[in-house]
Amino acid sequence: MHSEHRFSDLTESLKHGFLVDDIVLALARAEKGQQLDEKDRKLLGRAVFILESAEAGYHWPDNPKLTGETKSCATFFGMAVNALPTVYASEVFLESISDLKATAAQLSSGECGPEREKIQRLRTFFRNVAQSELDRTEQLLAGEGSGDALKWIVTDE
Amino acid sequence: MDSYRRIVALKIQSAQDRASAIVEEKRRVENKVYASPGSQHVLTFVGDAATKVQGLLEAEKAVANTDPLDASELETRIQRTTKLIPVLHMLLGFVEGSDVHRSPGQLIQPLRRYVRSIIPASEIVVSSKAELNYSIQDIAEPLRKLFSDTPLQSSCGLLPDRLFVVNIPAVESGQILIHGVLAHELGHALYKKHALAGKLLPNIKVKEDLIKNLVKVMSGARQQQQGPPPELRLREWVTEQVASRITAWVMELSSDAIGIRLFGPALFFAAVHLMTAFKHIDQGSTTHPAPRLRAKLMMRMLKQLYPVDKLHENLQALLRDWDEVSAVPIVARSMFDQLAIESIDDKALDLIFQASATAVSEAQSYTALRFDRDAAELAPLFVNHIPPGETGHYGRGVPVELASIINAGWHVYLCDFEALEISEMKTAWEEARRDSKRGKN
Repeated sequence: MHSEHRFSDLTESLKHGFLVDDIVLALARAEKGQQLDEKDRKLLGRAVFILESAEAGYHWPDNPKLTGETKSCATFFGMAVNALPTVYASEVFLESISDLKATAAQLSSGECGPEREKIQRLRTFFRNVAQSELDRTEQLLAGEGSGDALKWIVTDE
Repeated sequence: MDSYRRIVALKIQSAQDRASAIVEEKRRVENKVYASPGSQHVLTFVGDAATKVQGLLEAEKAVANTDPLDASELETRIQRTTKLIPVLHMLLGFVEGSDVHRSPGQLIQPLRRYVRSIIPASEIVVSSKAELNYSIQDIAEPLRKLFSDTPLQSSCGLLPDRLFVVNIPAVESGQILIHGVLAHELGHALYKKHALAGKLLPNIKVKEDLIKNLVKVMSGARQQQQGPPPELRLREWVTEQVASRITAWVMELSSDAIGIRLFGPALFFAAVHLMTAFKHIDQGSTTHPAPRLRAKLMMRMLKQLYPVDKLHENLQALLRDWDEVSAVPIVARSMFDQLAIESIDDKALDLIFQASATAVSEAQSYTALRFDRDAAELAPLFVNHIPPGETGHYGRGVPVELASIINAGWHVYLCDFEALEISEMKTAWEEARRDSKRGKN
């Protein structure tokens, strides 16, 4: 059975994926010491937003207020957890996200560049995000053939 | 890495060939006759987008040759772009089943007129396929979002503001009464258009203590099973399950509420008919609330918007039964369902009811007055096998609206079915008599 909004889920997954691929490309350039242009800096600003949303997603159960952004924050939190496969403790997770955010913000502002090692860590994080988003796109596409669902009342646990 | 770059070049060439095959296929199928004007919009878009995807892939060659991505990153990037090809196939799939031989032609014009009266500058594609799947989904907005700021942005200019792909199960295409559920699907489009999520969600109070208790219970359960609990993953799981479940349920319930405003009792009758056959009354999911909760909201609305105690006795009896059944507490199938049920309480249902009024204007609302009129004027036409194409004075007739046809149809089915059967038998008998007389002559 497939989700009622599979087509919009699919286009959203692709949209996220294209964005993250471009962030990885910008970070690859930064790691090689290439000059980042305005477009790259904007992309890294989006990277900051993704990391902030992941942080907000983490904190949501402490103060569970619903807004139009709750679902996307939960999604970004999930993405971030999957992109840090060796992190299990909350404190380490929050510290990692905070470090990654600082690196992305530094690159986005165009001020003095962060250390190469920090850029590399940020690039690895977004590379993992890009791969898991591609897996999600493939899953959504694979659901295409299972058209035996009554979408109006579909369940998909 | 050089050998890999050569493989990448091959991958790109192969994907370009696939895109080119889509352009060819589009040329082949565009000569068919389609019952919905929206089908041609989809085909034009697909042809244009497939050509541009070839250009996008060409640009990736430059990334492969000049930029410092490693093999894994490059592979992911190329795969992403090639995934646009199955998306274009999916769009062609939407058009399949919308040709005149397969789609329910009698439904298309009234539905198109109706959808355009609710959302102007929209278009529909109605297709009928061999799958048990009722749906309406707008494909224009997701495509615009996906391709904004890309070379395919201009292809989206070929689409109408909203392009609704309506799917009706092939074996049910003649069952017009069940098509009442399309009002719920239209509710989804209005929920998005009027940004109801932003207005409703902040007013729904999630039970904080229940979330904390949930995390505690789950940590305990895992500790007993598998050693130390992966605290972070547990938190992520709970957040994802709770946040996505409540936001999805609010959207589904709001779409029901909007559907009731658009189609009145016809949505309720169609909905409960489908639900009773296919779904356990207490079974919820990540995306959909339990049928009992949906029936509860719809019953609350019908009782406030319609003089239920003055309706035909058969309708009263059916509504009374559902009212009693929907008032019984739901037996939740999971802790996440329980949390969502407790968060979407009666107060939240009333908020959803009120918010639905902001998405449907008075002129678009199907009222109690119209239901009375349709039952009195249209139902007798059905019983006597007279197709109600237009109503009004001769020369000044207006087409009968879809909501009226379906509501009157349900009224006949639930209240005058015997009269309809007798009338059918009489017609058959008279025909047989005429035939036998003709035979003697």
